[in-house]
Amino acid sequence: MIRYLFSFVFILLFVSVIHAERAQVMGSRGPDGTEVICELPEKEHIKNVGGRDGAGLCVFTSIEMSARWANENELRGFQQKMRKEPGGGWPEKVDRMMAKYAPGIKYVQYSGNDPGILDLAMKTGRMVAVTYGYSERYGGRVAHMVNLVHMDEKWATILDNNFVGSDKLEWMSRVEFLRRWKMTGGGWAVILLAPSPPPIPINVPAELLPERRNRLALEGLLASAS
Amino acid sequence: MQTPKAVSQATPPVELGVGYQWRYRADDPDRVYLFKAGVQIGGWDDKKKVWRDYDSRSDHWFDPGKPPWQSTNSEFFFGVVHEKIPEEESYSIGGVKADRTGVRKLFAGDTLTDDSSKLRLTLIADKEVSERISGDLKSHPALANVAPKFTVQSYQWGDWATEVFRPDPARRFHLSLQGPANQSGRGIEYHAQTEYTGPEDLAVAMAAAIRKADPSYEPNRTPDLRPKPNVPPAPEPAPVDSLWTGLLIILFFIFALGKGNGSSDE
Repeated sequence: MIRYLFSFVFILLFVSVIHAERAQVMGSRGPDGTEVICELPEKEHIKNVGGRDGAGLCVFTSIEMSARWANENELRGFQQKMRKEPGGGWPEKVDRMMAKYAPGIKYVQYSGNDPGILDLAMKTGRMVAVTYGYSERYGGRVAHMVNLVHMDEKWATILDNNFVGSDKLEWMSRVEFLRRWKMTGGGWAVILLAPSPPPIPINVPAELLPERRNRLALEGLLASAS
Repeated sequence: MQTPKAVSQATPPVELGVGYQWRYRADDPDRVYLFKAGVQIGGWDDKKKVWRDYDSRSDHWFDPGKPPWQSTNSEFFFGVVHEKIPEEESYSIGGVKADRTGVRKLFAGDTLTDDSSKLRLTLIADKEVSERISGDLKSHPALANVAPKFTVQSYQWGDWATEVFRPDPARRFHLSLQGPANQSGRGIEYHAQTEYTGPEDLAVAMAAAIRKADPSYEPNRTPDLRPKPNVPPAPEPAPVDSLWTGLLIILFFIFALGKGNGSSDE
């Protein structure tokens, strides 16, 4: 009986681990209702294309989507301009192409294994272009750059430029994303320094409005007097 | 050779991105052929679930083997050239390599600053007006003290990010002052104006918004400066562990008594 119980617990643990390692394709709310940080509207999504030699432009597509999020209009149409160049991207080429097509843009590039810069970008609402080494969508390893649109202590979410659409975001655990980010020897990230879009406006809470605050104070005085 | 997908009965086993293409043959409905950058690299027999590599230069088909999307040695190339990414940890700021000192500065706030707790000024206006106000924010003396406390974003009329403000199209101007975003990306709007009446008026509004939402204010950190009253120390509460133990003992006795009563009834 105890043996069966142990087997059952082992299978349960095994299944839960396997399940946790798989990404889930969902919308702007994650498996537990978490809201995505950088919710770029679908009309601003752009699909990956090839350069003049047919090789993919995922790096420059991801950077343009980050730019659309950050209101960096100088980078609007960056991917289309890059279609005249050979495909493929790496840090030094990004520097050259940014200098050529968008010299006014302030940005940071990082290569390494420290997720600290990704956390800072997410905390400040910046969308990051990141390397991505694996996805169930392709059934195997990929040499790819996508947009990191959410990362907290539990979840990470990516927007893949081969599968654009608000309902096609890939949600996975933070640990799993960081594994995929660093998969081919180390991660690479491109971060635009322009601030994020403004927060969604909400009204001043009633208790903070002057007339409401005065009435509350008056009510307090009357209560203490009586 | 290429025919519409509908003619073929075979289904590609995986969907691939740019640079890869599945092609079909009308005379071979059970198979699909994979092309990379226009060059055939193999074929998939959908009926037998078998993959074979193909060398187009020698026109040679290899024996059935592991398809590339299942192989640990191959990867699909969508545009990242891994061989040219520095192996050692490295930073660059605007194309200029940063050393360790630069890295420390980067995190200390010289470039990628943590502006998440700053107030927000969002300007939605035509280019000319927008440039005028941006100029005032940078250099007008009335705004010198308040402007650095705000993260400024300036949008053209109709940009996607402005929709949340529901600006009046008849005015073609909207200026909003908000508190920092909360965890769900929402921020209290303290002030909104639909016309620009000059930097002095704006400075008054910005100062008022700062007073309402000073992000550095933490009420719990304000000390109580009154003299402490001489109150005798209260007895220490019983440790939680002994409380639980006591409760468990009581429950045990209740259960044992109940059982004893039940058996005597029979």
